[in-house]
Amino acid sequence: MKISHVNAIFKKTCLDMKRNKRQLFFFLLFPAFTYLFYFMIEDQHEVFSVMYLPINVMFCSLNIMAGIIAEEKEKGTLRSLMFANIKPIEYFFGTGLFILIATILSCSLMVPLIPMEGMQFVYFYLGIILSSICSQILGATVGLVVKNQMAANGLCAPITIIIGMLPTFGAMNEAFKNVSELLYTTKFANTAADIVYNQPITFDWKVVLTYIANFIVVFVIFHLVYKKKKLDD
Amino acid sequence: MNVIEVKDLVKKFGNKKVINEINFKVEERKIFGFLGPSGAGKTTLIKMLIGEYSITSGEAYLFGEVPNKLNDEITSKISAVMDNFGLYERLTVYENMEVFANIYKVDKKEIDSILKKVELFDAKKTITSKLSKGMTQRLILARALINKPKLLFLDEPTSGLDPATSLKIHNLLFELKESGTTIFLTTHNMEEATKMCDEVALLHLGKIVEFGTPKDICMRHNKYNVFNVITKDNKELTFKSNKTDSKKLAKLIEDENVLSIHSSEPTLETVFIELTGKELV
Repeated sequence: MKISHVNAIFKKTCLDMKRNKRQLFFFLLFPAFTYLFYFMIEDQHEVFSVMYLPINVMFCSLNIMAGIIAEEKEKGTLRSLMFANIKPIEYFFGTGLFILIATILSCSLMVPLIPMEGMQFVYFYLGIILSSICSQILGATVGLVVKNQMAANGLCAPITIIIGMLPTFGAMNEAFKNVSELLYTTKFANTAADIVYNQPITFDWKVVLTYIANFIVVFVIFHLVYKKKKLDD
Repeated sequence: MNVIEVKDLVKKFGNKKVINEINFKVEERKIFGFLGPSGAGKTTLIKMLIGEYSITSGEAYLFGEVPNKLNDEITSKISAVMDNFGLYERLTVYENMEVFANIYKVDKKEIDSILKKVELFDAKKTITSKLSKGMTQRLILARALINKPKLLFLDEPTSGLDPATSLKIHNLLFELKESGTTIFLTTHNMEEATKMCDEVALLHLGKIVEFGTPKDICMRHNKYNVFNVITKDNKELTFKSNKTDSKKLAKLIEDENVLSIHSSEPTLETVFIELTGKELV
């Protein structure tokens, strides 16, 4: 892997996204919702930060990664990159780095509504990074499967709802809770809830293992799809 | 030195042979044309050579190496202009070039120089989606030149372009050849091939049916060996290449009675039709 290639892809993604208003809007959507509900509803308005944070990470990382790959396949730019000897891993790293930074910035927009201090910041941003990586791999898988951007949006919506909303459903329903506890989005939602309600956060191996297990699962799915479809198939 | 070498190359899609045991070599600093109608297998051949399609059987070498196992050094010497290689439509002309300049680690000053060559320098701040078809084609070509390729593949480079833009591209290709680039182009435009190519191969149903310089091919198929003359009093006369007719023709010229004189060798197009019974469309 060449760092100069990763850097070139990162710069390309920054340039392209700067003019892609529709995709940029995704990064502002859930922070805007959070602010809207925070000021509209007086009681327990902090619940919206807890609810929208994991969805925001999921939505931004998954949708943008899937959308970028699908569009590049559709327009034939991915072929020209591959012909210029860009390796798939360099492409994913360059694109993923942009999405990670943009997701962190997007979630940071919600920070003024979440009182945080000290180690809470570390857990908060670590949760965003790990969740974003898992979501990006899922997004890359969607990007490989679909033919165009429209199809990518169509497939991302149900995945976002299922994986992004399960932590919220799990908080309301015991049956959902059993499933949602296995997901990285729930672990991140729990961290967010602990921060928002000022509960003590301690290092928990179960949480770490859940992130690792989720990462392995999404990576294996991605790998199987990649072997079958390849990047520019 | 042979830049491209192909031996008994075959490509099958299912049971259908799209490329059928073809052989050819392309020497350094030559423009080599692959000619044939749509569906003859031209694009398939380029895709095999650039490693996008696998080879069913036979051998192909670029700079002595197998296409899908090229090392970074060789890869950086090859460029291609294919119809499925797109541009970043939201980026400007300059930014599109910059993306690839960053990948190939090329000095940014080169971008301006290439844009001037393809006459897009004045449009360098234009968003790519707003370019005309001719300008887009020139930008794709400009992008392919950013790494100063030693070998350039062009798939129908002037297809659908107006004559003025085609001429600009032809002139640029001649310049590239002079500066040491080997060019492999496919076209169904016989005039373009005759004008541009040092050597051509006529492809029909995946097989090479004729190979050589355009002039040699036309001469080989010159069955009639006659001269068509239009005299000043607007008569159309035909003279065979023998002593009697030569004297008659010499007399006409001596009398300054010749308006135009043409030899009768066929064009590449008529050779192709003669060999395959099909027109080049």
